[in-house]
Amino acid sequence: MQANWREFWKGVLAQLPLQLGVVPFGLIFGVLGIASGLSAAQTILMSSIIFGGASQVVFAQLWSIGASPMVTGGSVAIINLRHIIYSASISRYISVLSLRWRLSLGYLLTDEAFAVSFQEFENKNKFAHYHLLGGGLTLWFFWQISTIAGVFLGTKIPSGLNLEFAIPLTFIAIILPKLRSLAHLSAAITASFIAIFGQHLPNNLWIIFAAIMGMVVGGYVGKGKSQ
Amino acid sequence: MIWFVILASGLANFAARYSMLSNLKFLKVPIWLEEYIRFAPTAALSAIIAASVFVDENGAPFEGSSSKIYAALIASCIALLSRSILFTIVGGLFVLWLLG
Repeated sequence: MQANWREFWKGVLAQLPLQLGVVPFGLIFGVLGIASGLSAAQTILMSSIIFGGASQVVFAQLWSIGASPMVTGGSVAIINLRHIIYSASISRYISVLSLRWRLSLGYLLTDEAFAVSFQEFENKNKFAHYHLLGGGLTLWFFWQISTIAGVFLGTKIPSGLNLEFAIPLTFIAIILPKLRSLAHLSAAITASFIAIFGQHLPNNLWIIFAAIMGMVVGGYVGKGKSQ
Repeated sequence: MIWFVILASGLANFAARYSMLSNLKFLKVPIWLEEYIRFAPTAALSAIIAASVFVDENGAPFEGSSSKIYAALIASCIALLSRSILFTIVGGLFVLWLLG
């Protein structure tokens, strides 16, 4: 096998253990999508069009409480802003590649894919982009399959089980382990405070307002620190 | 309408991922903004957690049943100990069902 494809399969293998977290999350999203009133087609296709766990769950949550399209789309966009950071950290290596490579890797650049393949780029691995492609495609595949499975499960689960509470629980699992710096803690507390007391704002604008103020406070407190 | 929002969200998401890989100047983000952007997920997701746990159906803070607060507390402990989305959800929902 050629060295580049060997790197591709290494990326696939490196990504496999993370699927233990991805598959349940995909199942949960599938179930939640249906519970939030989205159709099966909307839920399933969202996994390839948006292709981002947290943002898809936020979409379902805000759509189910009747938030306006602007607020729903705006919140999804804010949550995905972090990808700019990932994009920036590998841009030195990728901006020399062909447009086809850059578009594909851009589409496949998720938290998990970045986490697994970033080291390859740092180590100046000549075929690091194959590693990212392999890992990214693996995650994409498992995300689609588990969403579809979740949708079929979701149509069979009775309502009234408070399943929608799985949404904040999902976010607790994602966010809490990250609240180890004063800056992240300040961002979280600011945003929570505004979310709790800003409910009377029109069009569910509390979510956008809380997110922006949390970013401002977090950025201010964490100024000059890398973590 | 919902399809339009899904497509727009997908496009925004792709733009964020592709931004720095492209050669398009307008997609590049200045360094000073990155200092703030890294708090975006924490801020946005905390806001949603807080609203779902502490606000009742009518938008009044700290008026709803306290079982959601207990469920969130237990789930937080599970999240910190296990780092598992699945365990956190199962534990939190279990507490919520237990307390009714």
